[in-house]
Amino acid sequence: MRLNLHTFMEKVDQSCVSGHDVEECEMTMQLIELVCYSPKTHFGEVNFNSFPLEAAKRAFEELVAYCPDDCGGEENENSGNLLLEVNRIAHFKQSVLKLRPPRKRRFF
Amino acid sequence: MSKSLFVPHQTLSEYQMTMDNMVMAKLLHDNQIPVPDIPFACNYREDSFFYQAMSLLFQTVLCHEEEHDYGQTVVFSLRSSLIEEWMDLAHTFPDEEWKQRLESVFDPVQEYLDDYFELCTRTEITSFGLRITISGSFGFFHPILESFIECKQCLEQELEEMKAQKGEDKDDRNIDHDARGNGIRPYRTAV
Repeated sequence: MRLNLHTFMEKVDQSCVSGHDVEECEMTMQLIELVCYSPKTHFGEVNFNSFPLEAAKRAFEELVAYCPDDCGGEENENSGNLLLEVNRIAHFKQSVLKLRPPRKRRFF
Repeated sequence: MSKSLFVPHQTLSEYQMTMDNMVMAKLLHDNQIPVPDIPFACNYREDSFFYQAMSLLFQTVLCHEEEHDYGQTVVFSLRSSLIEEWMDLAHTFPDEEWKQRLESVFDPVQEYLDDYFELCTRTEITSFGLRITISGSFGFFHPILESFIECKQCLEQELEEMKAQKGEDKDDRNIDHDARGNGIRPYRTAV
């Protein structure tokens, strides 16, 4: 079977997520991260020009759609939810940070 | 793939209320209303940014009037110079036109029932402002604030239109009066 490069590239274009969707998803995840994990606590620390209203509304909808973990919210049930994705990335970051070698102690 | 955080029901509802606050702050910011530098985290309905957002939107202070069913129903009133001015001017129009204008401006805020939760808001229009009744134990406020922003924009637009209409009427009356007097069209008309 011969591979037609043109057809292949067309199929890739069809199946991949558009740049706009990725950007929107990123902004939504950043907002979820801001609310759930960020040390920022005041409105004054938030740059309201950095995200559109739609992203904030979508972040809210994602949080409303999330099934709580103590109420049988299995990973399959919440699959695709952006709160779960943020949570997974946070776990990945924690795992990477654990790989750092322990600091050498200095004895005086 | 594992998660870093176990999200129980209580924590999730806190996240939802905090995000509700964030959406309200964004709504204010997009409407050129400065957002105060206060904490955005919210644990209970009573701590919601909604009450402060309403004060900022109408540049007034909310008056807590009544409370029933152990805080499930809260009534508060809002005195606004904008609504007062609109009411004074609207009353000068004929009854039917006045009612039509009242419906078109206040229709989006008169009654709101949350699609997913049990929050319900009823708004009565008084001569000096609004009387808002919020009932229900759990729900979110940003759609309500959005409808009030829409209402305020409509009020401002209507007020300008009415002022212009009244101004035109006044001009016409001046011309008529002068025409009756000496038949000369006046150079300057009273505004």
